[in-house]
Amino acid sequence: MILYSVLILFSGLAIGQQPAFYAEVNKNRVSVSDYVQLSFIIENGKGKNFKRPSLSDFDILNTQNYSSSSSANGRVTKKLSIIYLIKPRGAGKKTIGSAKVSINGKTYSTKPITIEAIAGKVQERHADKNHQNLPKKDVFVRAYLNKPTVYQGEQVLLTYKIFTRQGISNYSQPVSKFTGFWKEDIKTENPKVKRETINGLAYRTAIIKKVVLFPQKSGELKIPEAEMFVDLDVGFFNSKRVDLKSNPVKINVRSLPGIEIPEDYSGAVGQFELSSHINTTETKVDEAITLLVKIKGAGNLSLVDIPIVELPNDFEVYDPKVNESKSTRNNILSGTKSYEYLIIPRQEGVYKMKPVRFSYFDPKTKIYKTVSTQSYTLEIEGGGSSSKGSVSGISKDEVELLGKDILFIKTGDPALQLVNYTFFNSIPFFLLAGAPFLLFFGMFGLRYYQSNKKTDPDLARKRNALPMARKQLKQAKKLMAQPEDKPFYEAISMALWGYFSDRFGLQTHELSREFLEAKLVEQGINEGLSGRIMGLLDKCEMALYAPDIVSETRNSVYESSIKLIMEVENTKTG
Amino acid sequence: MKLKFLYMVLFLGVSVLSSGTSVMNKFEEANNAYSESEYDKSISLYLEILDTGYSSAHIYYNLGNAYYKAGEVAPSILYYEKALHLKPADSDILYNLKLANLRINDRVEPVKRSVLGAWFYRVLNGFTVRQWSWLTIGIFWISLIFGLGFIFLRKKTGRQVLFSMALLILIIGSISLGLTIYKDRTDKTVTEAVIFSANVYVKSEPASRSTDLFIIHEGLKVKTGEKIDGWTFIEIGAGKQGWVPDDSYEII
Repeated sequence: MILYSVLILFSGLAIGQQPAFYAEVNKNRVSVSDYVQLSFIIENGKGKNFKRPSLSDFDILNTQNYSSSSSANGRVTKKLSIIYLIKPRGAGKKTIGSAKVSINGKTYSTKPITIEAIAGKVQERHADKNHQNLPKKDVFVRAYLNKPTVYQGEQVLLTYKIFTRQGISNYSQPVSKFTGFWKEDIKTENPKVKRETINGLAYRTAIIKKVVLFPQKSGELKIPEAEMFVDLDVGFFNSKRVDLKSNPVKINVRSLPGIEIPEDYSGAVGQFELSSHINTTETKVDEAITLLVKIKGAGNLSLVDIPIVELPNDFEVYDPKVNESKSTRNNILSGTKSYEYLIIPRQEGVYKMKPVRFSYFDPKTKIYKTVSTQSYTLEIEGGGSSSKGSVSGISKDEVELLGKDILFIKTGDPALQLVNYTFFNSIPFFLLAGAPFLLFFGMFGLRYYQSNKKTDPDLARKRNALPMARKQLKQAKKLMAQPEDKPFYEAISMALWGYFSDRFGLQTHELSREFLEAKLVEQGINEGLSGRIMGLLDKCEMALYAPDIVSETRNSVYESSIKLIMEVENTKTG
Repeated sequence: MKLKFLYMVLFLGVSVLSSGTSVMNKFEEANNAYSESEYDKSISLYLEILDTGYSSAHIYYNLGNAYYKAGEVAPSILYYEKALHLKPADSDILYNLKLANLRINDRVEPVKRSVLGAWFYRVLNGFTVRQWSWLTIGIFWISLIFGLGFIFLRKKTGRQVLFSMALLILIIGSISLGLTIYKDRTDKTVTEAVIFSANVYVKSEPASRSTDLFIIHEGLKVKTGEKIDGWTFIEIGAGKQGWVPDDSYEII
């Protein structure tokens, strides 16, 4: 019931310019002898056809119209209240039904309200010693979130507010479980007491607790009802302890966008600034440098990682001293986190320190942002020869070597050579490298020329004479199988003439009986052999032109041809 | 002219005898200064010899020693490297260079090569271009001896053996020539340098505004490449590369 009234109250405020229609009562627990003020309120609109619910359980004592206008945040709200003063008929729970009205052609209706009428006086109850029956609606606690939806890691404010119609002498802090959140309490000492009227019931309210929450995971997160107690004033020096439970709260946590995440992002959400200070940029080897990096802003600072100072290995950077201070202003948790780095240069030279970077997600603009400090140039002077001793990354063997001295200089002939003279690709090189080839081909050519001089064409003919004759005789042997004599004798005479002319070097014009005879003599063939040669040649000729005269068989001609040739071949000729 | 040419052919790679006495005197003087721990004096004397236009592995090595003793590591590495260019496999130079390299800040992982590749580079860098040239010439001449044997021998089987021998040696000679050419190329294109500045930021581009990639220190040997507007492209070890100012190093 109260929830309902509160909702009405808040929705009425939230709607603003929108037309609204709702019902209110000044109290919903009432003595049968008491009155209830029932109001039907039309906001921001002209109501037509107002139809009140049947109020048969009540006596209507008075009806009244009342119009008012109020402005909040520059918005003007016009109200028309139709007020009934009613009195319950007898004890018990009585329901006021829905009223209806049409505004701008649209029908609006109120929700039913239940009134509990009690026999006897309601006032008496406060004096009643039976404290257990204290009506809960006279005091209750509510939890509110300032945003219904946040990003993971974005801060959200949870407020606990107590509503009471009775005096409170003492109260405890509401206690709840915040699983899935990282929380930071905001101090709320001496809460301000305000007056608030809900459905005509006047409450004193006070914000008793504020918590800044940072959701650590996405999804719908629940904060269970908080538990607390209040000590209610009941008469002089008397108080009654009552346990209260707030409403549970739900919050919708969105995960951070997965696009354009900076590489060095480590989970900070909020709005931040980065600054740095260095005590010196010019120093000597082994003398310390102090770098202070400050991150300032609103957000989950406690969860911010240590920023990385990027320096070459020539520096030793120690883990920073971290200082954190927090403050809450306007219900926003903000603070400063400072990192003090000790840097010791180990090597001389001029070095650049890259800007220290810090990335965070800004839930207002919904993008990731990266801020960076300025970059520093560090000029390190040498600090004497001892600095050379710092060698790193060497093996065991090398450590042993490190203690040893270099080998002595070389004396004796320094073997000087011209710096700019290159032997390769020089003329002497080509000469020396090419000479073997020239020599080889020269000698080869010479040798070839010499052997060529010895071999004349006649000699080749002579060498080829026998193989040629063999070939032709083979041909003749094949022809022996044929019936005609002519081809056979032709082949035989060709073989013989060919052989002799090649063997003895006869020229074409010398191919005649006379020339051959003379040649045979000249070559020193004995007369018997030369006579048989000539005889065989004659025989062949006769067989060609006068075949009938020849008596010898072809086979004997063939045999004697071979015999003669072999005989000539075995005779040494001049 | 003719005489000079003849002289060059005959005395290549052999010590230069002219002006030898004054150089020898200076060399001994410098060595004595070194022995007496007067390193600055010996440095200047060695440098005077180099100013005459002659070089020698001995002088570079001694100069490297003198710089090392004087506490200047970067120049000592420079001169040891120069000495190695003239005598690539000299164990004394290699030993002292190793010691000098222990005194610098940067440790460069050697480029990882396959067994075959490592062997190839060991052979290739085992000789200077001049030594390779002489080796090639020698092999060609040996091949010629077999070739001549092939030409003049009458026996058929002996000729065949000699011919294949000549051909085989010629192939070896050609490989040697190829290596000579390759070594000459790499020597000319891949120049090496030693960093002389105390520390240098290696840049991603030849401009001072570009990104710093990494930092190197004096005494580190780098390979140098292209040059643009006062910037030189360098490479160290396993693929790390970038640009450094021209005045930050000395060419070996």
